[in-house]
Parts: sequence; structure tokens; C-alpha cells
Amino acid sequence: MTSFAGKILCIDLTTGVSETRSVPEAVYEAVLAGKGLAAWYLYAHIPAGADPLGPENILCFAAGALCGSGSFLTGRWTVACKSPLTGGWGDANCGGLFAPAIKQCGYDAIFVSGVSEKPVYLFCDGRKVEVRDAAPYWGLDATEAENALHRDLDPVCRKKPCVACIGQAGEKLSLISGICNEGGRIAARSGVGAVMGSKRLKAVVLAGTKPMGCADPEAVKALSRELGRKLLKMTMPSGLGVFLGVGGRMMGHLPYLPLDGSLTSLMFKEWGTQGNTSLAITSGDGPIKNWGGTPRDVRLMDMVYNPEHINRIEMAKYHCYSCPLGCGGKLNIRGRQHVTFDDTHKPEYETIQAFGALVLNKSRDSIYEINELLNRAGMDTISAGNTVAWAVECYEKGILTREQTDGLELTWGNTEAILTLVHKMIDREGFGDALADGVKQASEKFGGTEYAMHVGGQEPGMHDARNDPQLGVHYVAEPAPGKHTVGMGIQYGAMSLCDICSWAPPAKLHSKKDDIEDTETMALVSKANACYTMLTDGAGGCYYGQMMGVHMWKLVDYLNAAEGWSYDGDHYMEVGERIQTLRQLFNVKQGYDPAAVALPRRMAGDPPLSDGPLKGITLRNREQVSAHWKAFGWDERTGVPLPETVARLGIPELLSLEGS
Amino acid sequence: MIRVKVFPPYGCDRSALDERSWMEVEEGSTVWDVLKIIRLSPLKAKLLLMSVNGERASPSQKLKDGDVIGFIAPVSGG
Repeated sequence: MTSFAGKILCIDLTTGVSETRSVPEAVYEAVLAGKGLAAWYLYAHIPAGADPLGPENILCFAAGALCGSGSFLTGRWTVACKSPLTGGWGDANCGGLFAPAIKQCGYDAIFVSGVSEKPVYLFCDGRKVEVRDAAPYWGLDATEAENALHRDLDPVCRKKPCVACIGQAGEKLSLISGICNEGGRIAARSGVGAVMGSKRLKAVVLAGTKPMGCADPEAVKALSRELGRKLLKMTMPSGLGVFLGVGGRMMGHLPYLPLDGSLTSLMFKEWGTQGNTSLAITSGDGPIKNWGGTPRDVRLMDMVYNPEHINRIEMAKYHCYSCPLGCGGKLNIRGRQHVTFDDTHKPEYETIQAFGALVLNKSRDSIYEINELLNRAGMDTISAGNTVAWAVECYEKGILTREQTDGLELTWGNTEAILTLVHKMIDREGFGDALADGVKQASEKFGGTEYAMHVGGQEPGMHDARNDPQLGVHYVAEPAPGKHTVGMGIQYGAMSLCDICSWAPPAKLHSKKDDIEDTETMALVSKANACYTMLTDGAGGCYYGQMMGVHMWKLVDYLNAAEGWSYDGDHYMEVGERIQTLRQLFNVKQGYDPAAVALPRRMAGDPPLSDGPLKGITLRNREQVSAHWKAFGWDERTGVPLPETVARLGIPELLSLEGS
Repeated sequence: MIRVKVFPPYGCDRSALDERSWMEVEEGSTVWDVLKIIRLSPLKAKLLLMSVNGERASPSQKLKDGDVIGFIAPVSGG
């Protein structure tokens, strides 16, 4: 027995017909599960030119290969579809308990096609699959809907169901909406919430109790025991957060070092991702003032967003399924200024930066409110923050008038106006209506396209490519552009991929300027990064496990133990390469032009900043992207995978395999 | 001889490391022996939360083949 369920559930909401299909073992060997399984199925079944918000688009919910095997840091679930935001491949992923819930229903993935006439939710408990009326839940925010579904279903289910649902943003087809679970934890990117809303699918409710398998449970347990023991012992003296701003200032001026990735877990354990904020503000990693500012514009803001402040109001930490790290937390925010809720999830770094330094907002309390509002609405905080920052800059520059903003004084750092605008975006009211579809659409309507920070239609994550040019390569070359989770130079230095992969260049001490070069070595670094991330996604792994390095989180050993295989790292990196190439082929099939995707000039340092840690930096992004494509065996001018690469990866044979 | 992987902080001597950050030391060597080679004081190593295989370590800890010696450094992500 392996850790694969061996089956997928396919359901057509137009007809209400569902079907369970077996997946050939060769598919799992080629692409694992999670994002790989999604790519295999969606490439074959979404017709070219399909309307992302029409019945032909297919929404996939997938668990990773290792989910349920006893491995650690492998509880992520993936949503994939054709993205309405970019017109190409779209995906997002999230933690919580939904991934094992898919497997406990007996499936590796659920594929939803068609469009329902009325709002529905999908219920599955491993014995029956039902499309049920969602009228009582439509119109509720994601947390309210989840609570209402629990209220109605918990008493009649054998186990407490897991719910993934959309909030108002997805219902209203906001192109920057996502899908939530666990009270507003969100698979946010690519506009996956709008696709779910277009199908009038409010929620997927899973209550299965089937056992999850593993080829060698003892070997997997031994790996997890070793990792868990180390993580348990890892503690940091408390209060170190106050030094992070200073650390960032140093980091901004030092060359890059190969790092012991295992120690990154200290940061995530102690603070969660919000521990990055102070560091990012001062180092040049975090974008400031709509990507046009410098740390001088946000003096002392690293102290406002010092992670110790946020830890002080943390009521409890929480962990995703199979995670010993526990980077999540719940905050008590009752009675704070601007705040209408009692509690919220600890905001992620991305949210804090997007509604903090990016818009020069110094109110930490307002971030808690925005965090909870957007989590409940199911709207991507990265995209929303970039869009608000564009609006503020356009208002300051006179491109937007007060009449157009419905009377809002959208100046830098105007907390009240920003909060009101967030409400308007969620409700699609007035000026907020256009902004609810992201910055590309808003700027095409109102002007100011030069201030609209998006890559191929999707707003970038809160990490500046001028600080880490490798990130800029992935922002552009990634089949779902604008994502910050595919690779970074600094993370590459922490992972030691050269110790599992014969062709991955060793990380070296080097200056930031070296990272701008379009050398073959840099291209192999970005390729290795992308391949390992795809492998991680196929396994359902967490990027923070990945960041700990291959000596700590032993993904290759986990996969061999859980599936009964004995492959080496090179084999698994090729699995990642295959997944990435398949996703790019999806783009090509859908008419997405990779060569038309570029960094906004400002993000590429054209013109360069005249101050701060990023002073004078101009990227050579197009050249680096071409080198990256070439390293992948894709056409270096067009980004289209070459026939010999497609053949080498066995993709025609893979696509000829059909589920039965 | 045994091989250990070392991630020295900025400013240390890296000349004994190969391009993948591995170095050879005598069997029975301790962390202190490695600190001497990379020219890092035990006090600095302690402040930088020196670890072996992800676990906090003291200079007197004996090393075995394949051990990974690291020090905390700021890294962005999230």
C-alpha cells in the first residue's frame, strides 16, 4: 500500500453527475499528487480557450502525495484551475485540515466542472457524494458559512466535517478572491475563489473516515521522530524580535551566504511569518510605498511591526495537519482602535507588508481588522494591498480624483480611507467595484498603468526582486506569474539542494550584483529552485519545511518510504521539472503568451532607486528569464517547452494515460 | 577522516571548505576544532546559536561523519 488513494472524484455541477475514477499508477510515479495530479488532469480536460468563469473550467482540490503517510510538514492542499486573473494556469495552496479530509474520503483530488443553476455545496463522506442546496449559506462570509455548516452538519456526520468555502468576494466573482478553510485561512492566489463562485459552489464539505496509507510506516515514523525531536529542542531566547530591524539593515548591505536552513524554523516557531516584517522593511526585501519607496519613507515602522508586539496578544498557537512547527496563531484584538472583531488569525507577513509599509500605514490595529475582513470575505491580501497602493499613488498624483474615489481622501498612510476602501472592495460598492478585480483591471479603467504592479495580471508577493533577482525570474517565468513562493536566491542558499541533486549548483558566498547576471549557473539555480518547489507541491509539502534544507526535512527519504520507491534526488527533481513543464504546456494550450509577461519597470529598477539598500539596482530580468527557460529546455525566446524536452520528460505518454 | 558540512557566518575563514561547504576533519574532532579552522570564537558561536544537525551544540560536542554545523542568520520569507 502506498500513500496514494488511487482515485479521484469528478463532478459536473451542470448535470449533478459525479463519477469516481481510478488513476493509473504511472501517473503518480510521473507527477505525484497535489499540483502534479492537477496539472495532468486539467491539461487534458480543460479545452483551449475555455472561459475561466464558464462551465468548461475545472476547479481542482488536491491533497499531496505524502498527506496522511505520517510524514511531517505535508498537510497542504492545492486548488488549481484556469485563472481568470491571468488567463493561464492558476493555483493556490493552504494549510489546515482539508488535505487529509480529501484523502479520508478516498480520493487524491476532487475535480469540479460545470455551473450549477443555483447556489450549492458539495458533500462527501466517502460513502456518498451529494450536491446540496446552499441557499441558507449564500451571502455569508467564509467564517460564518463554515460555522453554519458545522452547526447543521456536525450532529449528523460520523466525524466533524472539513469545510472549504468562499466568502462574499468569491460569490461576487472578484478576480482576486480565494477559497477559505479553518475560519478564514485562505488559498488566496490566482482568483480561484471567483472560479468557485462562478460555479455557484459555496462550499466543499468533507466528512470521510477512510484510513490513509503508507508503504513503510515505520520508516516514515522514524524520519518524523528525528525531525520532531530536533524541532522540539529548537528554542530561541525571547525578545529577540526587537533586533530584527537592525538585522535587516545589516542584511541589506551584506553579501549572500549559504545558510543552515534548519535554523529558519526558529523564526517560524517563535513568530510565524510575521517575524519577517521588521527585517523586510529595513533590508530592502519588503516593498515600500507601492514599490517606489525606500526604508527612509518608513522610518521606525520596523518597530511598529516588531513581531514581539503581535506575539504579546497571541492567545494560542496552532499547527496545520502534520506540522510540528506551528507558525499559526490566534490574536485577541477586542477593543482595539479600528477593530470590530474579537479575534483574528495572526496576520501573515504578506498581509502586514501589503497594508503596512506598501501604503505607509502605521496602524497595527488596522491591519488586524483588514486581515479579518479579507480572510472572511475570501479576498487575497497580497492582491488587495497592491491594488490599494496603486489607488493611493494615483490619487496622490492626481490621476484619480476625489469624485472617482467616492470622496475618499486616499493619501499615503490614511488608515481610515484605506479601511473604507477595503470594505468597498469586498462589497463591490462604488469605486471598490473596479478594484475588486485587481490592479490590472483597475488601472486599465482609470489610467495609471505605470503604477500598477502586476506580473501577467497577478499582483506580486511582498518580496522585492531588486533585493533578490532570482525572485524576479520566478515572478515572470512561473506559469502562474507573480507568485513569491516558487524560489528566491536567499532561500536557495538555505536548502542545500546540491546535496540531493547532481546538477544543482552549490550555494556560494556572493554579492547581490552577482545575482543579476544571466549566467548558466544562475539559470540552474532558478531551475533547481522551481523543480524542488514543484516536487514539494506534488508531495503536499510546506515551503517552510523546504526552507529548512534537505538535511532537516528529508523529502526524498519521505517519498521513498511512503511510496515504497528507491529513487534518488535527481529522479525526484525530474518529477518537479515534469510538473513545471506540464503547467507551462497548459499555458501554451490556453493561448497564454509567456514572452508577453514582464516585470513592471519600477519593479525591475528602471529607473533605479536613488536611496536605501536597493539604490542603483537595475535588473536584467528578461535575459535571466530567457536563460531560465533555456535551462528548462524551453524555447529561450518564447518560453514554450521544446518538443525534445516534452519527449524526454515522457509527457506524451503521461497524457495518453486516462483515468478509468 | 570524517566530512562535516559547515555554514560559517559572514567574516569567517572559508578556505578549508569545498564548494559545497563540506570539510574534512580528523575522526574524534569536536565543534571547537571546526571553530578554530573557520576562525570563529566560541563566544560569537554561542551568540549565533550554533547548532549541529539543527540542535543547539556546545564547542566540546564530538562530531561524526555527515554532521551539519550552522549558525543563525537572518533570512526572509513568508
